[in-house]
Amino acid sequence: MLNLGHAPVLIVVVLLLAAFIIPLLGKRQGVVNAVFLGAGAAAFIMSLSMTMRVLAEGTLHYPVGGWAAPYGIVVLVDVFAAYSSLVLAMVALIISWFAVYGPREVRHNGVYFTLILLLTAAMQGMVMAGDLFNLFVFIEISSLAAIAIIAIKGTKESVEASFRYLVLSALGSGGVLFSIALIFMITGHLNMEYIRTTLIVTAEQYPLNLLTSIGLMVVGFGVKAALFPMHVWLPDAHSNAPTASSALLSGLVVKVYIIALMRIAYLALGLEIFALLPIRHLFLALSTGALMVGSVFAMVQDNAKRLLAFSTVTQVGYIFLGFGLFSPRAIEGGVLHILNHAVMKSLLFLAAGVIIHQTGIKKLSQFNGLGRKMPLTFAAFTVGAMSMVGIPGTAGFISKLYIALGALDADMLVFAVLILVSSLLNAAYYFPIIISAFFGKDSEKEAVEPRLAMLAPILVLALMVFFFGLFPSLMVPLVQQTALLFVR
Amino acid sequence: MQTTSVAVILPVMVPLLLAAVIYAVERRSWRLRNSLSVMAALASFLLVVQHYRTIMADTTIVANFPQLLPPLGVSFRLDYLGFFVATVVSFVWLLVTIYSTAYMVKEHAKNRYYPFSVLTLAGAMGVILSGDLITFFLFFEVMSLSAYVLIIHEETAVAMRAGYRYLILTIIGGLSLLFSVIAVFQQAGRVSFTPGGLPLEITALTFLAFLGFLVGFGIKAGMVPLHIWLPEAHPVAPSPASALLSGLMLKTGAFGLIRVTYQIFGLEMMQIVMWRDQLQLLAAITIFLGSAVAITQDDIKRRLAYSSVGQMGYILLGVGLLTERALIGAIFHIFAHAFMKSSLFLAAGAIIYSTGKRRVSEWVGLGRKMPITMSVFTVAALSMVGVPPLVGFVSKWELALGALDAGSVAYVLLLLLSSLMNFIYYFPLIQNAFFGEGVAHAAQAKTRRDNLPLAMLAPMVALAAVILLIDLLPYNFALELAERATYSLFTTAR
Repeated sequence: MLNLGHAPVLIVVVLLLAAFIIPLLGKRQGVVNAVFLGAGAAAFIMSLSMTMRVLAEGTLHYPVGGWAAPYGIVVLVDVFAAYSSLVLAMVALIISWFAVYGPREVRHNGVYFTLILLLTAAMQGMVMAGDLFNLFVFIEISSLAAIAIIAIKGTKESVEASFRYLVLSALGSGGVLFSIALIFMITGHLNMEYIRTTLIVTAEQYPLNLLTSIGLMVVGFGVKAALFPMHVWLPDAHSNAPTASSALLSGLVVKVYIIALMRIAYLALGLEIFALLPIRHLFLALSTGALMVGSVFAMVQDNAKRLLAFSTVTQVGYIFLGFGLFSPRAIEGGVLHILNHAVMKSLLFLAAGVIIHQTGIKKLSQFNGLGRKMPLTFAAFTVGAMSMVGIPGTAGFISKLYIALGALDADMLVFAVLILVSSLLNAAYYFPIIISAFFGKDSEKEAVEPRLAMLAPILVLALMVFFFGLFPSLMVPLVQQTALLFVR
Repeated sequence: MQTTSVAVILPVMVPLLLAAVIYAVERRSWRLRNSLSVMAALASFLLVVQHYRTIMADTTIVANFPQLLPPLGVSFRLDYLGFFVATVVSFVWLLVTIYSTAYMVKEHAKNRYYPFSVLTLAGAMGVILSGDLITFFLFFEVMSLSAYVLIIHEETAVAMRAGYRYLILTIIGGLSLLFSVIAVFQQAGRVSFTPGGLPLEITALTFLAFLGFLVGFGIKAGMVPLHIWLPEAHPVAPSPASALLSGLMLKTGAFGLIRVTYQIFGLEMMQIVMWRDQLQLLAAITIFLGSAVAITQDDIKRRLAYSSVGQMGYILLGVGLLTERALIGAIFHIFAHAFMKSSLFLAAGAIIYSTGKRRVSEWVGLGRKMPITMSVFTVAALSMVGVPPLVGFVSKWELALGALDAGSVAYVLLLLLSSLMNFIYYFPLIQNAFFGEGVAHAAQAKTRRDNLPLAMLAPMVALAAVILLIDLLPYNFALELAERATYSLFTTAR
C-alpha cells in the first residue's frame, strides 16, 4: 500500500502519472475510465488522510527527495493547504465522474481526461507549494490545461474564448513571473519561509522593488482569479467550455489563484504587508464592484451558462471580501466560501449542462415548464440556486453569515448590508428561472430525466449543499485555524 | 423553571418528515395522501398539547443543538407564549386541512398542494417553537418559501404576478431579518430568546437591528406600508390556503415581534428608547387603512385580506403599547383572529365552491340557500366587529384597557372607529344575504346541509363554535394562557 506519509507529494505524482498513462492506453475506454477515476479517488483519500495528519500534528514540511531547504524543494502543508487540497480533491472527483458518465461533448475522451488530470495535479501542487518557483510551474501547467479544456470542445466560440483567456492569462503569468523575479532579486531566495526571514532585513532597502512586485502579484493573480474588473475573459471562457470543464473552472480553478496569492501573502511576504500597504482596501473596493457588477450582468443574461459564469464573478468577490475585511470571522467566511461555492457552482453548471443536453435548450427564457418534466435535475438546480441566494440550511448561507458577522467585527457595517443587497440581487436572477421552470407554461419540447449515472454527481452535490449548510462544524476546525494564520 | 427535552422538536419534525413521505406516496393513493396530511396537523397538535401540564406548572421546555450551525447553534423552546400560539396554529391547521380534502377535489395539482401545505406547517411550527433567532429565521424562510407554492397554486397570470411580488418582499424581509440577527449576535454574542432580553447597548446598530426586525416581521404581518403583497396574494390562493395565510401565517410576524421586543431587546430597553412610538404609529395607520380600504372592496377575498391588514394592526398595537393588558389583548387576538379569519375564509370558500360567486354584491339570498355557511360567516363577522361575548370582543376590551394604561386615549377611539368600519364592511353583506331582495325566490332553492360535503361543513362549524362559546365557558383557558404568557414575559423583564 501507499505510504501515506508521502501524501503531500504523492497526490500530485499520482495525478500526473495517471495523466501520462491515459494516452498510452489508447482506445480501451473502460480502462481509461478506471484509471481516471481511480487517480481522482486516490488523490481524495490521500488528501483526507493528509488533512487528518495536519490537524493532529500541525504544519507538514515535506522536503522532496529528502533534500533540505533552501536548496531542496519543500512542500509546505499547513491547514490552509490541507483544506484547499481536500476541497479540490473532493469536488474534482465528483466532476470527474460527470466527465466520464455525463453527456459526451468532446471527441477524444482520453485527451480530455489527461488534461483534467494535469489541471487537478497542478492545482494540488499550487496550494501545497513551499517555494515560488514550483508555484509558478504549477500556475503555468494549470493555466495551459485550463485553456485546453475550454478549446477541446472545438466550437468556434470555445476556441475564441480560450484564445482570449490565453492572452489575458499569459499577461497574468507574466506579471507573477516578474514579481517573483523581483522578490528573488531582493532576497535571493525562492523558498517562501526563507523569503520572509530575509525580507525583514532587506525590505527597507528596496521598498520600490517590493512595491512593484506586490502590485504585479496582485494584478497577475487577480486576472487569473477573475477579480473585478479583470474578469472580462471569464464569462466567455466558462460558458463556452464543455460542462465538466465549466464546473472545474468556475468551481475550482479561479479559487486556486486566490489561495496561492493568500499563501504567498502570509508565508513569503509576512502579514506586515497588510498593515503597510492598502491591499485590504483594494480587495474591499474591487469585491464591492464584483458583487454589484457580476449580479447586474447576470440579470440580463439569457444563456444559462453565461448567467452562471457572471454569478461566479460575484462569488469570487465574496471570497476577496472575506480576506479584505480581515477579521477572523470574515476570513473564516471567505475560506468556507471556497468550499461552498465550489460545491454549489459545480452543481449548477452540471445541472445546467444536463438540462441543455437533454433538451437542447440553452436559453433561460425557454426553460418554462421543464421543471415538471425533469423534476430531479431541476430540484438539484433549485438547491444550488437557493444556496447562491443564501437561504438558511444551505451551504451558501453559512459563508455569507460568517462574512457578514466578520464585517460587523471589523466595524464595517456597510459591507454587511452589501452582502444582503447582493443576496437580493442573486435572488432576482435565480428565482425567475426556477419559477418559470416549475410553474411556467408547458413547452413543446420533450424532455426526460437523464440516466442515473449522469444524475448521480448532481444529486451528490445537492446533498453536499445541505450537508455543509447544516453541519459546517465539520470544516470549522480547519477554517478557524486557517483564519489564525492571518490574524493572530 | 426549565427542563430539557428533545420532545419539543417533534411537532416540527413529524410534519417535516411527513411532507417527504406524502411526496413519496401521493402518486399511488390520494386517500393516503389526504389522510397523511390531516395526520401531520393532528400529530403536530397532539405533540404540542401533551405538554399542557408541564407548561401550566410554570416550566419552560428547551432543547439545544449547539453543534448545528455554529457559532450560533440551533435551539427550541416551549414556553407559555409558544405553547399558546403553537396550539392555536396546529389546531386551526388541522381543521383547514380537513376542509381542504373536500375543497381541493375541484382543483388541479393536488399532489403539489398537500406536501407543500404540510411543509409550511412544519415551518410555522418551527418558527413558533424556535428558541433563538437563527432557528427562528431558518424556519421562517422554510415557511415563507413553501407558502409561495400555495399562493401561486392556480398558476394564472394574476396569481403568478401576486406570487412574484410576495417572493421578492419575502426575500427582502428575510434579508432584513438576517441583518438584524447578525447585528444582535455581534453585539450580544448570542441570539437565544432570553427572558428579560439580551445585554444590548443602545447604539445606532441596535436601532438598525430593530428596524430590520420591524421590516422583516412587518412584511410578514402585513404592516402598512409593507402590506402591499398581502391583498394580492391572499385572494388568489385557493380558499383553504388563504385561510392558512391570513389566519395563521401572518401571526408568525406578530409572534416574532413579541419575541424580539420582550426576549431580545427586553422591556427595560424598549421603555427607555422611543422606538415603540414608531411601532404604535405604524400599527395605528395599519388599523385605519386596512379597515378603510376593506370597505371599498367588492371581491370577498380581497375584502377579507384587507380586513386582515387592519386586524394585524391590533396585534402590533398591543405589542407596541408595552403594557400588560395590551399584550394580553395582542396575544389573545392572535388566537381570536386566527379563528375568526379562518372561518371567514372557509365560509367564503364554501360559497365560491358551490356558487362561484366571488363578488359580495352577488350574495343576495345566500343566507337562505346556505344557512349554515352564512351563519358561520355571521358569527365570525360579528366577532370581528366586537360584539360580546364573542372572542373578538375580549381582545378589543383588553387592548382598549391596555391603551388606557399607557395613557393613550386616542388609541381607544381608534379601536372603536375600526370596529365601526368593520361593521360597515361586514353588516350590509350579511343583511343582503339574509334579507336582501329576491330572498323569497331563492328560498325555494333551499337545500339540505348547504349542499356541501361534511368535511367542509364540520371544520367551519367547529371554528364558529369556538368563537361563540369560549368566553361563555366557566374557565376561559385561552384567556388564561394569554395572561400567563404575558405575565411570564413581564415578570422576567422586571
